[in-house]
Amino acid sequence: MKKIFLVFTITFIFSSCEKVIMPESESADVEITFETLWQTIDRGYSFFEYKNIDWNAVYQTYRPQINNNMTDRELFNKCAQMLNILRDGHVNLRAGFSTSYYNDFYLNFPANFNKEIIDRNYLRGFEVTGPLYHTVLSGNIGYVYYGSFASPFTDDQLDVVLTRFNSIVGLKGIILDIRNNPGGDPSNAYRFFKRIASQNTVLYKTKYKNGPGHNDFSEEQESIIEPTTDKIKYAGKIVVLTNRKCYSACNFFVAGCKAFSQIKIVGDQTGGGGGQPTGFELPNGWSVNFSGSITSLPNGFIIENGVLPDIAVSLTPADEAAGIDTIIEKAKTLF
Amino acid sequence: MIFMKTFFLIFHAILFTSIVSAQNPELPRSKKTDNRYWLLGLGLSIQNMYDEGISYVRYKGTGVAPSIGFIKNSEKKYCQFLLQPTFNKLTTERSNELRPMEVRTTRFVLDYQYLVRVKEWNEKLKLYAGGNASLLFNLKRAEQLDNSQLVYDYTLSIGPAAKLDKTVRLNKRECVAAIGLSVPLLSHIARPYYLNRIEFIDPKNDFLGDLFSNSSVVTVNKNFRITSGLSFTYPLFNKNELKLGYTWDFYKMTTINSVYAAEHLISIAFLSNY
Repeated sequence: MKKIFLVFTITFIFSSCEKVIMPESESADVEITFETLWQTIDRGYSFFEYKNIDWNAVYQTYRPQINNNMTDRELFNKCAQMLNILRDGHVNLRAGFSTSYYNDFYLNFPANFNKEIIDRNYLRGFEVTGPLYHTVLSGNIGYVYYGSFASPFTDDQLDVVLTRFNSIVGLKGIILDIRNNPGGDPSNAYRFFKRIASQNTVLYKTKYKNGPGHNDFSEEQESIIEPTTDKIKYAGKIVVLTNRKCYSACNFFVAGCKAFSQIKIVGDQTGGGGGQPTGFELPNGWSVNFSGSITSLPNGFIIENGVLPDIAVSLTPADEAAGIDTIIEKAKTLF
Repeated sequence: MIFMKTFFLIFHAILFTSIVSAQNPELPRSKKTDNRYWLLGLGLSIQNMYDEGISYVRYKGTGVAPSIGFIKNSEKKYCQFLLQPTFNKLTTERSNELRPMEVRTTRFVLDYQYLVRVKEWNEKLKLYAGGNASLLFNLKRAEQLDNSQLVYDYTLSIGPAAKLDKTVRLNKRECVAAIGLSVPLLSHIARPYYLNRIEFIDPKNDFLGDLFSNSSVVTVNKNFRITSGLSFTYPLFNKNELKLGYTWDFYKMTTINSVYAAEHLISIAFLSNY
């Protein structure tokens, strides 16, 4: 019995070794949390060079303002202020009681979108198929409003919409309105591109952070869309409407549209968001999201600050007052 | 729920088969000196983890650990094939409702152990030694990290293993208390890319295909793992057995960052002789 007890004791002690080998949790105090946040961004953020940001100088500015006597709220505010220097809507600090956002990418620009006008004067008699609102405008032009890439549409739903438009005799084309679309899942874009591609098409190129240095990136990888061979396609003209609130997955979608000659982009520049968001947890339980890649068009144009429209059009106050969407009206003239 | 139903269905099927087959001494056997068992068990898994791909915080938690396996032993050798999935929810004392710090782990261990008797001090104390091949895949999901939430540890390793058996009498039955140890020396390991990236912005993104893109063959300096265990086997009716076990499995794997993981597993298994 003594021997058995001895063996159990030895095994228990042996298995307790992990407490020695495994590192303790990093301290959750204010200064360590700040240091970890700064270092996480330093090692992971992808746009320092592109945006010409001296992150070490940022540290020198903010570190003296941090001390262990600060409250969580004070630390959060200071960290959020520091992160906003990155001018990136994909950079968020999530503390539970609040989440920091950078949204100057659209707040500093005209909205170029009035949903009330669209609902009252353009979408009357519309059909809803999943997240896709569609109708036929005067002049025999199809119109689809898609408000968020976070609301996925299925292939079957896309079939319904494309079948409808393909069956209309003399349809001049489709307006795809994605203004105020804040992004979501980019795979919705691929589902759409497959229906209009006639051959393998390079949408954009991406290089990913692969090390802690500011210039540690993978080789550039091309994102190629292959045309569908067994689903309903659309071969006509398409005009895509954009504004500054087109962000993230929506921005990637507009970047991809540039690869297709049958698509024209009309409206305002997109808001941007050209880095793939990635996340890390801080020692106090907060988490931080940040861009971890750089995507550019095949011609090398980096899409982080937005994609330019082919035809820049703004909503005029006079048109808005008269219930007219200047951008839709311009799009209708392009077919 | 479906899982538990399936588990109990299989358990009862094996139990029934074992009772029926064990009572028929005329069943053909290629080597009558061997003892062969199906193993079906259930355990409590207690895990600790420190994964620099998620944070610099230790996580711990408990979960269930069913197991299924096959054992063949004789006077001179011991052979075991064991599949052991565990499903745990890990958290930290710093977690709260506003910002839950939670990592769900699904861990599969597939072990093949082949040991031969190398020393016999007396009829009651025997030492077995040999090799162990182990496949471990630990998929972790930390939803608070959005696109970086999927983290995994994979290792396929081989190394030496040993087991010391001590026969003891309990309730007039010959029971076996055993202590075992295995340490992989050569491993094929894989961890996620830097920042746990999954290429969502690529139409051809293939998470499963990319699982092994960041892999390498390493020795103990990059994948240190130690598995030790105690077990107590108690004979039941018809050569069936009941096995109580405690296993400690620790590993430290280093690629672009390090992960430390430990599992304490307390299990009970039914060994069905056939």
